[in-house]
Amino acid sequence: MTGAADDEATETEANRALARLFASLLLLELDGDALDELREPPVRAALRSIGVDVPDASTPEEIDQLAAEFHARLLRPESGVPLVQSLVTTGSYQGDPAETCRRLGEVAALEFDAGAASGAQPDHLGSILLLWAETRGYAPEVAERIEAEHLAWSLAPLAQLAKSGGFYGAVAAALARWLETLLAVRG
Amino acid sequence: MKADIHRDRRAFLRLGGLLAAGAATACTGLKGSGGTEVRGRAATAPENERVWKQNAGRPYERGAIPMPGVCTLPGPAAFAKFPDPDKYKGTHQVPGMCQLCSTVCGIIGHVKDGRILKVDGNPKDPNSRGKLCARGQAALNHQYHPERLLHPIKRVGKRGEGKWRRISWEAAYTELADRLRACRENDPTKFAFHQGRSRSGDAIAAFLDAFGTKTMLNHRGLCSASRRAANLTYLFESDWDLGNYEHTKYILNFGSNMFEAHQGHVAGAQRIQRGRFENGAKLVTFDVRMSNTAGNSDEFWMPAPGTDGAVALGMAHTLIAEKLYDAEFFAAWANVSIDALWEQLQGYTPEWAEAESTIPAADIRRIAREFAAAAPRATTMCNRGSSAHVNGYYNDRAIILLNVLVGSVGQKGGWTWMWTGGLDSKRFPTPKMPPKTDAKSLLADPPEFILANTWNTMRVGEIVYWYLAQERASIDVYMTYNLDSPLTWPETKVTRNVLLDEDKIGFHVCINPFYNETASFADMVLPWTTFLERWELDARGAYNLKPYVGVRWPMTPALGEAKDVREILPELARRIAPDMAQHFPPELDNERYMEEWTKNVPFDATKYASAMEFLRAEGSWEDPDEALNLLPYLRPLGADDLAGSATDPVTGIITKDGRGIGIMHAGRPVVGFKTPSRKLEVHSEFVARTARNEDTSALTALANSKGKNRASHHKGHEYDVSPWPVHSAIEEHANLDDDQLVMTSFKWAVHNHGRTANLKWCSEIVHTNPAWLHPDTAKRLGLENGDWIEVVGYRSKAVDRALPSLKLGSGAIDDRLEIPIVVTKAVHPRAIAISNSLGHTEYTRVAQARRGPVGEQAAGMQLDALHDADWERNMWWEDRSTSHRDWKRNTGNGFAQNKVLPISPDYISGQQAFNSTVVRIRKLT
Repeated sequence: MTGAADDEATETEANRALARLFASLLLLELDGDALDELREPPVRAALRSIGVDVPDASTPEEIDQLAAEFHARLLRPESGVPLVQSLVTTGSYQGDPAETCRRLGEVAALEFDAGAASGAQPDHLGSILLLWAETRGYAPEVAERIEAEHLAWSLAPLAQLAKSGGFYGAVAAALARWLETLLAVRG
Repeated sequence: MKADIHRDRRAFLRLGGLLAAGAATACTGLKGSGGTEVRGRAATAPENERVWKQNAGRPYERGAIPMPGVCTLPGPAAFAKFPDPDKYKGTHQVPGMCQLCSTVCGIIGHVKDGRILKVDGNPKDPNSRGKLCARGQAALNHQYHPERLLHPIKRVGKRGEGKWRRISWEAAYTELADRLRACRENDPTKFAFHQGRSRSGDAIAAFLDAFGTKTMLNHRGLCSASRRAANLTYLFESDWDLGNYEHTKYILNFGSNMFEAHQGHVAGAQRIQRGRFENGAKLVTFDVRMSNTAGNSDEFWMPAPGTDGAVALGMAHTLIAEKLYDAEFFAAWANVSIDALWEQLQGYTPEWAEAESTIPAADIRRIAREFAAAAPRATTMCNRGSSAHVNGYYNDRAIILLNVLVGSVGQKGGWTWMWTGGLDSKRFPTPKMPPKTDAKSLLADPPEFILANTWNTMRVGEIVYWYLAQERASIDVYMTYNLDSPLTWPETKVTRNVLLDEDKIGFHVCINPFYNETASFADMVLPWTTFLERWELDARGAYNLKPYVGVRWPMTPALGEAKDVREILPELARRIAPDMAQHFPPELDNERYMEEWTKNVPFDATKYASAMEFLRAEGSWEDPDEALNLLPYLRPLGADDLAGSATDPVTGIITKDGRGIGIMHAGRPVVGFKTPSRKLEVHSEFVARTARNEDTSALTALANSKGKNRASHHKGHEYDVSPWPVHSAIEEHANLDDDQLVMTSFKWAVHNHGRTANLKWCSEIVHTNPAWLHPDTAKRLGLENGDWIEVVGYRSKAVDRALPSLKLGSGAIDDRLEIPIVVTKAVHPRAIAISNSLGHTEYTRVAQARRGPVGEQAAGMQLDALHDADWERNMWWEDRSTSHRDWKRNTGNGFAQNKVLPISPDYISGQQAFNSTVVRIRKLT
């Protein structure tokens, strides 16, 4: 393997890991263990460098408050922006993007399990990022199709979320910037 | 800018590198992977924790993506190809039953790729015959609504504060089971299950019986208690007249809005129109407001509010005075003589009725003559317009009397009913149920109300929160289900204050598909499936007068983590206690349960493998061999029936083992009516004695159908109630001040009471509801179209006097409604009409007519590129005014009348007097 190829493979793995991190932050509330890991000094510093300050929440009450922020920002449409492609582009759940994502998974011999995604849709940005992470470098046509059709829609709602501030606002802003770099590389 | 991107990219790669090297495994899904490899790379989470699982379909092959086209859901994009000939290509049809109102019409879901593309009526449903109203057509809005509740949530702030976090079903089950177990060990009746509307009565009853509580609350008192009680007084057997409209020649309608909102309206309306077009039937409507039914009648009369009974009694007077009644029928089947009845009715002349109602005496006489001439193919029809009054029970008894007088009872084209009510539970029994509990419940069976639970289960829903406020009862665990009481119950403030009070309601879990007003006061909210995602056998009052059955199947998997009570309640039972668990074996899942429940449905074994398969294909079944329920009282008794029986030589009543089984008619033994007299009970000794707390066991034995002795805990309340159909004028309606009116309520064709304002397609049609005022009233008060008024509601003096123990009082209630007016001749000059259904403060942004973050975010988007620029992005009726001065007509989400609607139960039936409230109005400047 050449040095350039090594770099590309390293970058791919880094991006896959980032996709999984962002997917996890969008799909699941943070518990104490996860928060502890994010507060490990190197990770905390790296997160701070992309604009995300890890919350200090540690008591059950504080973790509940963080979960309430997650609910208000990412789950509850009345006060936040559920990051589901069908919602944003068609106005309701289970629009064409949901079916397209499901089928893209099938093309890569992957089956969507809503239970593992805490009931999220296949076209939830978290699910899409996980599908991308699974297929990047393994099923390139699928990953490219995801990059072409299933990521750019999220930039506007992420910008909206970023305006709301707090931990999840910072995550949204960072994710948007990462997606922009990813899409810019793609050209 | 470019430098920023590069800096960002480096920062991201640094973080990504750390993560890829194994940092923060709990956040990146690497936790527990144990270094396994998948496809030659370090695996993410173990397979059972992965969102995208491997090995689905054939292995991936590099190359072009062989992905077939995806079917587009309906939306404005269809305009590009409208009508789209390919829309239903490759779809399959799944029958089901609607539940967006109480009519439960048969539906067909057109399903492709696991998604429902369209919902239509099922032509094979014998009741609705393929017709489906606007609410049902909006089922897609319901199913795929952007604000569906998809996860269990638990409050993390104060009750009512609106701060929530998601919890897992496991956490929800654990906490609920712990709380319910503690409640059960302390006092099981302090667990209250409160439904708004349910079609899963079997599952709920099984759980409550196993738990040991009878505190199962419903909205019957707010809906139809008076009408049901009036029907039961005459018939005992049935609380719901259906009217054989399809074959009738005359329909005398008192306050039913069958073309828009009557229970069973889709089935009933089409039969009325067939009766009119095919038989030349005449439809005459009395209503204080010109509903769509009134406006589309052959004659429409506007009586003063609460005087329908007076009009009916004026007609009854005419029928007897002019000897137009069916003497033979009345002598045979009324339980009193015509002379005895005449003695009671002599004062109810048409002139008296005119003075009460404002309907001209000459027209009362003319219509009575026409009705008699059309008999026996003539029937009355009534609903809340006549019955939701403090005198509603007697209004409906007077109306039904007209059918008895002209002999149209049980006749083809006449006044008819079904013995089944809804589903024929004898023919289609559920799988084995737990034994019924004999626990008592004050909330479910309040002692003040005479007929509330005398025949059927008729809860007095409107007093539940008042009892709790008075501390006559308290609830440890409160489970609300498909209920929106903070919007739809009278005296909104009372409801909301009680729901907020943790001393009155210890813990509140709400089950609903959307976050509604009730959910906003809960401690935990569980996401409920839609009617397109669950299992059921179901039926409604059968207008064909023969039993039928329909089904619900999951047309599509439940969205998110939504679950049905058929799953939630058994799981809770299994966790609460072993003696409950024994009734809910895990192997009896929904599919097994349905197999058992449908086993008696006949099917063609040459076409289908099972009854389930037959119902999956057809959606419903109606017994072709069953006789129509016409003249059921003339069914002869056979030798087996008569063996060991005795016949009373005076009354002709036939008994067996002391219980009535029939009556001698024209020398032959027949079934008769299932009442104590085995005749139509024009004069009800049963009701009068029940009110006086006298023993009625001899009467109920003769009826041998429905009807119970008044329970001992009612005995502190004694009333003098007339056994006759009489008229009691509503005293506070007399001598109204200039600024006082009688407030009436109504429903729209596109809404039910509290569960459809979230549906875009419905709310786009009706989203606001100014008050209707007659031009004479407006002129008197110096009001013009578009002016705003303040409305103040008053409690009823008559109700307060009849029910002193409730301590309701008779003054103004503590709330005000500000509302614009529309001036129209379509309402009685003494009335002010305000619709229900609207004025939500929760229940999605569509119901609140306000665009939210999803809509706002569209500001930065290319709307032209969207498949559907609809939903809240195009909520053109959003109200951005800050006061009524800059409000624009036809904007906003409407006004909740119940703020100023007092708690006002009729002491006889428990019926909430929705249409009797005296209000005072004042112009807002």
